[in-house]
Amino acid sequence: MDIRIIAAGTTYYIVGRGVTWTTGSGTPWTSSATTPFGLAMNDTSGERLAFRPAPAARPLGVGINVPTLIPLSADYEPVVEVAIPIDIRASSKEYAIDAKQALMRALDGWATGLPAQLYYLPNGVTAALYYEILGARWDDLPISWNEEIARPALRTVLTLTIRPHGSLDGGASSGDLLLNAVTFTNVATGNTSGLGSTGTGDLANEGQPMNVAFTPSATNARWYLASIHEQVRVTAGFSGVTVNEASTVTYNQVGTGVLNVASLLTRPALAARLLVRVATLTNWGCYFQAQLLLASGAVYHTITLSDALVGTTSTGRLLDFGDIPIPLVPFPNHGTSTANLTVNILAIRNSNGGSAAVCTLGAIEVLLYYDFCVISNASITSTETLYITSYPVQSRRTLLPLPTPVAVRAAGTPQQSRGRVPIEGTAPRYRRGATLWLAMTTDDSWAGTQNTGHTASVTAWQAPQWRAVRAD
Amino acid sequence: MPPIVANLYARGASGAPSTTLLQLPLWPLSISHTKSAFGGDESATIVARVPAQHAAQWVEQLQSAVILADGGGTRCWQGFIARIQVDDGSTVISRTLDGMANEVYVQYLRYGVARTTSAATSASSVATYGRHMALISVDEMDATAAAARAASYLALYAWPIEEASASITRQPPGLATLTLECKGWFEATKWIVYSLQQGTGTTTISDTNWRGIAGAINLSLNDATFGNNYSVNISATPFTAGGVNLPMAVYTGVYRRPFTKSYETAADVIARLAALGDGANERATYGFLTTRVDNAGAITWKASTWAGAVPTAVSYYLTPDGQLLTNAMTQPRWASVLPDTMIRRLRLAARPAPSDASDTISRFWCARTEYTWDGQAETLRLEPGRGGGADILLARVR
Repeated sequence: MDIRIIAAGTTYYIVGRGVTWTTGSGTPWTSSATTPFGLAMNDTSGERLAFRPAPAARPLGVGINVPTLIPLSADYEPVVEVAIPIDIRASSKEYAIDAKQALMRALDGWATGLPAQLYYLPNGVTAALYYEILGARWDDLPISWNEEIARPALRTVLTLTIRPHGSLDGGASSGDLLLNAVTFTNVATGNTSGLGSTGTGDLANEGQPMNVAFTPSATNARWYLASIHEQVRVTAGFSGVTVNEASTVTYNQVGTGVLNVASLLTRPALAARLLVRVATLTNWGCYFQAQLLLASGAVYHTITLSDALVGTTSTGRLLDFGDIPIPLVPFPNHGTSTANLTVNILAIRNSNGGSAAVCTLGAIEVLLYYDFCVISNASITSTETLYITSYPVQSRRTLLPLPTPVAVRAAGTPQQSRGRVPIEGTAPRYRRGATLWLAMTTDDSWAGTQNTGHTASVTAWQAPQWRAVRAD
Repeated sequence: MPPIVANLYARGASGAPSTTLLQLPLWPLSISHTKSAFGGDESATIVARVPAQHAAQWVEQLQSAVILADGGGTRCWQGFIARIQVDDGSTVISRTLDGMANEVYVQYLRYGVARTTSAATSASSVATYGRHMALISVDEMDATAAAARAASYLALYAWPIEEASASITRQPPGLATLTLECKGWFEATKWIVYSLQQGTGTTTISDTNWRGIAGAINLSLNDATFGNNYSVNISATPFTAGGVNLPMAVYTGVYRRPFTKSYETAADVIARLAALGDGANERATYGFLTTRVDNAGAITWKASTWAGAVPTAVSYYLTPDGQLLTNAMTQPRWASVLPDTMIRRLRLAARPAPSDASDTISRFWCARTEYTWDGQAETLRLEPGRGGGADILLARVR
């Protein structure tokens, strides 16, 4: 086991691995200015009373000599408290007190700069966990000075328990690279990339923060991002259909697709979202409608995009119909082959007379997703990059999730922010086996122009999170 | 991850919402909102941690537009910041639009005859916040005194009211707690005062200079066409963010005739007309309501004829174990659950199997929703209209 405190770039070792007490910086037992804690372990001889880890008052049985993490409050974010009994040795009581105060200042570094970190490496584990320390308190007893046991150097020993409180989860010191400049197309047959199934971290099945950078080949204003389990789609077999005139009041069908959504039978956490690509629409703008049917039943749900007049297009438009309900029931005899959703797409013109409005669909797509978000009002040019930052990448900072992910438009070398852009929904997170999905439109509309010639270079990292040591 | 997210847009010229995302960072601790059949998107509260050094900038952000979206990216509430409070651990500063008036009229009596002064206006305040009118009634007074009264009132209330006090809370180092109390856009109809005349044929009251909502709101009353009823046509250009029209539902309908003659705010006019019911004696709902969620059988992005008769089709089902389901038997995102919907409670043992058509006793009309995410859990309160159903409170931890 290896426990350290890292404050202001200096590592202070609390306990070493096995019998070899590790060394630290500074010269021990001298001026507190150079050895702020009086804990530096250049001293590898004699008694080693300074490092005496022990379980805290409420051991939870998570392991011998493992610090117990106690939920403290939900003030800024869920935090835990860990008890670390230590001895401070110094050549005088004054130095010992100086060292203690310097220690507490370092642990409160979050107030003025970067938080200190608690480094924790259990036995038999290769990847260390880092917890950010938001503050600390100490418990020292009135009878805690013991100059006699500090022999042979007649050092003063101050026995105390520091209780730094910090982040609930442990993070890593560097992220896992998932995608490296992978080219995504902007069409329903090439706009995904698997994130792999080997990512580390306790929360790899619950969702771990992911940082993603997107650099488009051309300007796009609206970005749809998702981490998905499956992209179920129909992209072929559509042909041009003349859309009814407004005076008929009746929407007519311009395309249909049968989509197998069997994954919903076994994955209740998934949500479903319907997106439709209109490949071409001639002469007149139209309103669109989607009807949902299960098996060969009747229409059970209708979605009308009554405020989105879809303009004519020869480039293509992406229609976001939003989340859709799919009331599949896992009957014992309900096999995967029968878990079919039929989606009918209908349209009606907003005008009468003149040339016909002919609509040809390009794709009907149902995303079975974990996380989905819309980034609007973000005209990312080909010289810019859209960054989705879900965990801070900062020197001497633990990779823990930000309270709220941030989307930033950036450019230049080195990259500099050109301002935040709004995220609506949940930014994609990493899950083992999940896939990153992307769609872009050049205008900021729920039925924006989707240029399939556009691509985006995507790089993604994830930050492993651990709850191996936690109270709950 | 929070099941609801907030995006704030900077206040633009004349108080109209801009499409510029407010660049001040905040980390929400809790977000709540209420939606009502009477007024639409009603109120919202966002409590967040912000860097303490941004406290001074935050108190300047009154009337900035707020858009809440659920975890799936669907917008579920829109409005503006009506009150801001920043607590940095030493000082609590708050600033509010409540009571602010930058265009003041005094209605007074002169020898028993009601008169109204011309406007006392703060042009700079109007340029910042748009028009916030106030109509003050006083007793017998001459014109000079009434004008002076208007001017003195304006001097006091032309700008947002600020309060400061000592903080008794402990804030994390370097951080402050920000509380944003927000109102739905219908609240902005309280900023304009109209003169209503009864029985004078078509009366159109409109104000294209009003910038509470980007564009104009037009409220037209037509007494001639409908006999004893007024037609009310509220049209507003929806707030546009990022080039996207936000979905707002605005009711256009026929109401029974009002009985008074007075100066009133647009909100009063609409609410009072709606309270009288429509031409068919049905209660009438009104307001700006963000929609695009599951509703009875069909969802529409912008319900241009939202409201009217009490809905009969069931939109949501409540199961005995406290689940809320859509009419398609799927779980809705609670942040996007709508009021003015029919909710049906499912019972454990119903014999014979109930049908929505006949089993009316276990249905109630939800007039108002109250949603809260407190950082850990979600709660949703479904309030019935008068005379039916029970107040339902659901909670779940995500």
